Amino acid sequence: MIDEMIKVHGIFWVHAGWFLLYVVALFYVLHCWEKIRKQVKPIAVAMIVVLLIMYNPVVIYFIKQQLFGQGTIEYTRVGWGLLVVPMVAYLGIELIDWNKKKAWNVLILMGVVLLVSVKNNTYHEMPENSYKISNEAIEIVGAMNATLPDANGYYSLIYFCPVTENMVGEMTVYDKIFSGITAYSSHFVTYCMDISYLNEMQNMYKYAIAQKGDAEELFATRGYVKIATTEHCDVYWYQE
Amino acid sequence: MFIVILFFIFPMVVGALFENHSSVAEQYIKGAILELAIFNVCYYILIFVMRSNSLQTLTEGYTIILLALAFIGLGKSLHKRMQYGQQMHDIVLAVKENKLLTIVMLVIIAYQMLRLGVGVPTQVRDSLDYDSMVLQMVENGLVYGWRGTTEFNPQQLMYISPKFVTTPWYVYEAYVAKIIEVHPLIILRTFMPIYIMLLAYMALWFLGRELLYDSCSKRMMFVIICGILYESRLVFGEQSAYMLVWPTWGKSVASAVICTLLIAWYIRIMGQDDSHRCRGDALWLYLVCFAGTATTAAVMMAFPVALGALSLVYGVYKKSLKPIGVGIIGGIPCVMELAIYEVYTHHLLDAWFMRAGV
Repeated sequence: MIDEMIKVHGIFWVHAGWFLLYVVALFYVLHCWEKIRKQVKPIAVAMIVVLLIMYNPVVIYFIKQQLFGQGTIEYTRVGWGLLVVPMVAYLGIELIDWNKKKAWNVLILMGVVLLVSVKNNTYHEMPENSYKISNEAIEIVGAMNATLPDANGYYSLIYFCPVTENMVGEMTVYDKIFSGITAYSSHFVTYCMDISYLNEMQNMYKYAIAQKGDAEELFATRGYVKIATTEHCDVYWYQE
Repeated sequence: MFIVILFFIFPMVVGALFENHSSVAEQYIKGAILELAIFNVCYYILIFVMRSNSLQTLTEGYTIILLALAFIGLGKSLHKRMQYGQQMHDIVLAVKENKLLTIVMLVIIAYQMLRLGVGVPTQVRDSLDYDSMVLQMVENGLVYGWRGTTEFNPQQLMYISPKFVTTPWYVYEAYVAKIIEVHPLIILRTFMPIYIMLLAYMALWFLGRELLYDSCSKRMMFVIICGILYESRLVFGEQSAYMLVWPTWGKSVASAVICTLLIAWYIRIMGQDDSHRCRGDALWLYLVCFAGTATTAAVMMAFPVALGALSLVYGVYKKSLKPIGVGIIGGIPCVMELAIYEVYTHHLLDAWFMRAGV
């Protein structure tokens, strides 16, 4: 059941961190319940109770599978009200208060969390410009902009993730401004069009981007014209 | 310069309109919440009463209200300058007593803000859609007018997803970009994340005061531990990511800022014996929830769950109906939003919009 829940998209996409939290909370409550009941404010009790309900695998399973069906609700939305982070911090401080000697254990635990987090924290990178999109994406936008036949058109483009082999998104290009496309990140240029997908969808998409040199022949037979080449990509335009 | 005025000065002076005994952090938070709540009202009037989707009209109307409030608030702020002096003195004293904790706290917060202000998230996810929406609104001058048009057309609203139409957070971001006249991408990826993070930490400080009111050092430790825990996405998942990676999303504001304030105000009301101040705090709880409904449609579900859980536990703990009453006050805006959402989802307003025809 747990394995199934972890796999279900939308419950907790960061692996099994939620389950660890549940076990820790349960352990905490079993050991400290008397102190919690006598010394801690009702808010702490409320937080622990909610934590034990919200992160309870059985509850998650019931809500996800029985009430809403798979994939129809993002369960984490309900968890916002839980304030897990402040709650853990608050209970940590209360723990330090109860037993100062144990405070060292808490601090050591915090240190370990920090070290692990810093080690895994690769969620930011330096941008290439003040818009924080890649220069290559801007170049592609410029090339597309130059080929637009009229200012009030409404054009589409898809991109494909070669890793998951799925269409990961569709972007709509509006007017001459191309604001839709400029919003895309630097990772935009690492995607390329799926050739088989293109066979079915070619008539719907005015523009296509492929890995440099990968699809020239195919695009040519499908009526696409290459309008630009950048460092990693070829940009095509469907000529009716 | 205008960014500083809009993000830092305006909330302070607007927050000065209220109680005299508010701390600086509380005043700032109240100002920010009130600004968002008023924006929510202006947006609803524009869309559902005026049946317009002109960003220009919204910008002008809201700015006039904001300026008027700021003007009145400025007058009050000048009267409060003695009080600010005393507060500053207290802050300096607290810092002197807790030098190490203050430094650690500020370093963590500054590091997280700068990392996002200077850098860019490597994982984009929904940012693509949201940034596109804001860009479209600013460039076309239309609220949610992204169906390939450049002309004002209220009928278009019928085709926009209800979850966006009922929550104007991205319109607010477009408003900020428009009024400051800086490219929306720079606003969304550089300035707004810092502003939201500042609000989130202010909210945490505020919550810390309600939880650990007796000790400044404990509050500092509370914020430090929160800052460190937020770094761990392995354990805290989306809540951590919303705070540190995509703080400008509506759901991030709801989870990192509004929910924190919601619970802080709830705890404050529960600890309040003075019925007059209790009523004032209940009004603020209502406003926090109302401002929350401007951020994301998911608050319709998340806030009642949070309030319900709190009310239940407090009700049992205190053997009183007051917690449930307070929970209901907070839940009213969520129910109102749910009603609008449902009406909109079932196309019951289509005829109304059609009559506005262009």
